[in-house]
Amino acid sequence: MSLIYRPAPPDEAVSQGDIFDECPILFWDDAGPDVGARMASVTVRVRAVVLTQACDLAQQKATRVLVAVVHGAQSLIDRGVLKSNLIRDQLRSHRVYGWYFLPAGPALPESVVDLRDLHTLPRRLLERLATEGKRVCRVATPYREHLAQHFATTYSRIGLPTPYETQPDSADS
Amino acid sequence: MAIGSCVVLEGVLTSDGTVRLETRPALPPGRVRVRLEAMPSSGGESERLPGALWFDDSVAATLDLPRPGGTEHTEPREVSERLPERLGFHEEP
Repeated sequence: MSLIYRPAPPDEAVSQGDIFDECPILFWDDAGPDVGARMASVTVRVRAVVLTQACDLAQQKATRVLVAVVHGAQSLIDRGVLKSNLIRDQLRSHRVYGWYFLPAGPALPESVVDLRDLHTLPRRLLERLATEGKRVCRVATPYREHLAQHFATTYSRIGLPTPYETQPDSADS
Repeated sequence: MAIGSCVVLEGVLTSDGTVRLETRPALPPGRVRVRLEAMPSSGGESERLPGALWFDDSVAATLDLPRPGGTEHTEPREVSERLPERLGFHEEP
């Protein structure tokens, strides 16, 4: 039994914190050759987590759902993308803006939510994935709100041009 | 003020051995004799020090994570516009 994740039956409505497998996302292939005068568009199926507020999904009938791509942490290490000590020291304690660490659970390994890889999907598409049994689990309260806050902080934090100047300690002067 | 003048003030003896007076003594600068006397805590402390330091050493993500392989090319179909979605607002009766 996990405190962080709970199963979501196929007939349950889509909500914040739902993790889906085989989510088709569309994006521009900026690394590949252009098609004619424009960048090629590609699609791939990924694991993704719902970021749209639960209340928007429940009450306001949002039809467009914001999701972020979820990576297996070990897969990123194996591919040389991230070092294990970065995950151990900084990601697990949620000290990296833009990435959110998800611990291992019954249905998924240690994972990294890429809050910089966001996509808007039709709600109907996610509902179909749920009925097909592709909803892996749901991040439970208050962990999903913690994820939502990390997402909000990533995009609302304010960087100063330079750190504030400080006066020298009186003992130094 | 003559030598031997005496004033009584209260203050706080800090952990580094210095004394922080609550008011400025009405004496001219110069050598003084200091006699310390422990006092019971007044309940309302004369100063309120900050708590323990809590550093925020968060950093920004340093790179774009690669998406999984196995992409398929798509043929986008152009549409004239994409409108905002229509949300069902609850109107007050």
